[in-house]
Amino acid sequence: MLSADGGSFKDPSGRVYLLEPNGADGCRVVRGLTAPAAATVESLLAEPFFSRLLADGDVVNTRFLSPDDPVAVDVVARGWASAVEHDAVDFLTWPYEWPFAMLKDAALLQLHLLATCVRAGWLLKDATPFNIQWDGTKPVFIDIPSFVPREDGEYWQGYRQFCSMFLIPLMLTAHLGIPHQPLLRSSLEGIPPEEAARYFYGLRRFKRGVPSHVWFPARVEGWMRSRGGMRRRSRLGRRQSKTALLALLDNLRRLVTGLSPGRASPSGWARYPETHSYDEGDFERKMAFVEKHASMRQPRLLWDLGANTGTFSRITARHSQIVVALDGDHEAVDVLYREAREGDERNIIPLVMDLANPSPGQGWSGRERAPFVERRSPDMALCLALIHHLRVSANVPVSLLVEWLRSLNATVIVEFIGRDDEMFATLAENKREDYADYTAENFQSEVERHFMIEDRMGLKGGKREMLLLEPKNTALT
Amino acid sequence: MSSPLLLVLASACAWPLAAFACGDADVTSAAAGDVEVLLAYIDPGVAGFVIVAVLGFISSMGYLARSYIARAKQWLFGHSEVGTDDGADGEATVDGDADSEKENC
Repeated sequence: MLSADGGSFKDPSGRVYLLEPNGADGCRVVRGLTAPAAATVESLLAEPFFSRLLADGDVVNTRFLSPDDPVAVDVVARGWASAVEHDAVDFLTWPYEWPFAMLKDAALLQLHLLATCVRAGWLLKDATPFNIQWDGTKPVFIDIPSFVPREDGEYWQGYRQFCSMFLIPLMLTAHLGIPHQPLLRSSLEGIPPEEAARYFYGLRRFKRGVPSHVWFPARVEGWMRSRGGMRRRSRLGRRQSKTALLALLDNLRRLVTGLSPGRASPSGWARYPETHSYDEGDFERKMAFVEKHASMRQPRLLWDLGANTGTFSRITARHSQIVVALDGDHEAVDVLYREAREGDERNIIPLVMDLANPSPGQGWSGRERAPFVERRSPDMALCLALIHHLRVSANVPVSLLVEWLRSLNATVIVEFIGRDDEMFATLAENKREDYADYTAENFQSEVERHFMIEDRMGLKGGKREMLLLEPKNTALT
Repeated sequence: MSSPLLLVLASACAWPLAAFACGDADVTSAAAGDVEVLLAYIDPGVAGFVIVAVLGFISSMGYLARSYIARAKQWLFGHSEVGTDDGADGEATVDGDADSEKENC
């Protein structure tokens, strides 16, 4: 059964459809194209530069479906001229869930693709990070109809979008220590130069890249707006040489490459491997418990909830097809991404996510950007030393926490921190609430309503407990 | 590129370009009392061409300079390693685009 993707409606040249999984096969992604768009994609697929990009894994693998293919027939029946199929990505993510280094790598990919295109006489007609998804720690460009032949002297119309959605969010983090995730989550079109200019006031406006890509565009836009806009001229009347365009792209690439999240406030979680409260033996037993059950189940998709810098994501990644590692601390997630990328651990997708406030449905009809919990259910979830944070810091009752875990319909490994553990005591120290429902007995009682406890192991002299939970009344995969 | 001096240059370049792009008649029609309404209809990206043109022009000075320096080094020392410092997109020094199009800049 084909279903139209909720986020694929802006470009009239095509539409993405998802084909529901059939047995062991995953979801298939097909795209209906208009006749002109199909002709463009056909030319694109024949271009040597595009073959190189495909071979490098920079763009999603794409092929035309035979007109006799039942899926193509279904797509054509919906009014399209022809259909292409793309390799499906493992797990959809949005830029407001990426740590700094992921957004930076996505920006560099965008610039690399565009420079490659321009040299070959093509152009990318837009510049949004929503066109980039992740094959583990490698960014992949997925919006093939964005490639269009460049008319002679055509200028880059995506510059403003690139600045709003890549460059300015990166500069806000790098220069001012402002995390980009909340800004991009609340403004899906990014942060325009005129708005960004308000952050870069006083001497801040002289920070690297700000005068040229924030202050100057903001001034010109403001001036242009005050004069009532620009008289409509043929696009061909606005010409830019290939050299000037490549020079601008080179300038942007150098700027983005030099950005680093230097002023972000230091985070304790980014140093978790050195600062955790276990002795060596307990920590090794905990790792062995997780590895044993992950290796027995070999999950296709595993969520590591509260992953920190990914110690357990890496362990489970050895036995899983894909691990989505979630944590609310952007610095810890940034460390995880960079280490996984450098270690070539290609099946980990690190995301910044506050589990007390996960990404909602956004955009048109609330369906353009799917909410986190509705994208793809995991087969297994790790919830290690997280429950007490959600209970104390986010005030979520234990019963709701266990119900939420059950709603994942997955095998869950939980680590419960007892009230006598020093970390719980520290967390609750200055709270007036006594969290009466947060007891080992009540937790176990809630768990037993929804799960079967398949295995358990005490840690730290009984102050903590590891539990392997299987949902009740559910066939296991 | 980000030095204030270059921005002054950029600003100086931008106004004539913008004026050229705007023309006279349409500008005055927007200033006749209905500006509040019109502003909401103006595409915020309308200045895109001016901005890209100015920044592209300024960037290309450094870009071409690097290209010529790299070619000079290549000619003097007879090897091409100088072209690699631009990373993945090292076109400024190795692919000849800059040379062939410099007259359009």
